Amino acid sequence: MNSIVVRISGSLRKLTRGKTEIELTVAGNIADCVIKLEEQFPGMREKICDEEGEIRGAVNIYVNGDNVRSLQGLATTLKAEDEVDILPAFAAA
Amino acid sequence: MIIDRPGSQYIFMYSRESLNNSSDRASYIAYKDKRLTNKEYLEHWGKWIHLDDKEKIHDMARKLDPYVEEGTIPCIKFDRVPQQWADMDQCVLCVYSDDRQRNEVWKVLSDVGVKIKAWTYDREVVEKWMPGGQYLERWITANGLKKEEADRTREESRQKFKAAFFDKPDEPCRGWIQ
Repeated sequence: MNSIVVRISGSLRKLTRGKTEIELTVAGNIADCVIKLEEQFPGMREKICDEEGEIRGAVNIYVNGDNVRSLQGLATTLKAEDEVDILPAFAAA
Repeated sequence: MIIDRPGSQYIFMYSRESLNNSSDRASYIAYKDKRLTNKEYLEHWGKWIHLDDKEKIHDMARKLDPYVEEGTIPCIKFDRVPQQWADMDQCVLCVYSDDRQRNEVWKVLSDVGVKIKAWTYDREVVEKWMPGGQYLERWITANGLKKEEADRTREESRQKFKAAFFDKPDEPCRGWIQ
């Protein structure tokens, strides 16, 4: 299990009651991270993932600065002290 | 130097040296003092994205101004107000650089208190502003354009990027109007 920091920006903060930085202990990858977020903040998974379980187009997830779409998506492995940022995709417009 | 043109959604920051270079307004699009070509721009140019409330973003921009002036940061763009067409509730600050320089720029951002770490290549942004792209289509929908207006907007966008980047890959990059 790895201890990581997840930062939430944009409208997803409504689900975290305004909390922007969350420490999580996760088993392995971004998908595990999303499950952990859902446990703490119900509704988060649906906002991040679509019906097929893929990351929604309206959301970008970054690990240590890099978009996971250019890595292994939800299968992107996380290690201790990694930093995960979840942003609205339109922030990059 | 902060360039605030009333009426524009964006506020820009360039160094005085770059602004005073009347023969090349995009001289900041460079790596190690060498101007990037359009092809190199699409390969290497990008931005660190930071989001926060309007006042905090505007304060952060002022803090970063000396780093733009000294040339550590090539260029910054930030929102005057959150972008309604994109349903944003925070302002965005984009700190531009070549990807080969991005760690140096990140160190500056980290030192002034930026936590959000999110890098986006401009080629991804250009793609999303092309016809069928996520940003352009959302903008068209949000602005309620009728079919003819929407088609004209798509064609203008396609032509703009074609002329700016794709027609002349080996020419010095001049950026694009935002």
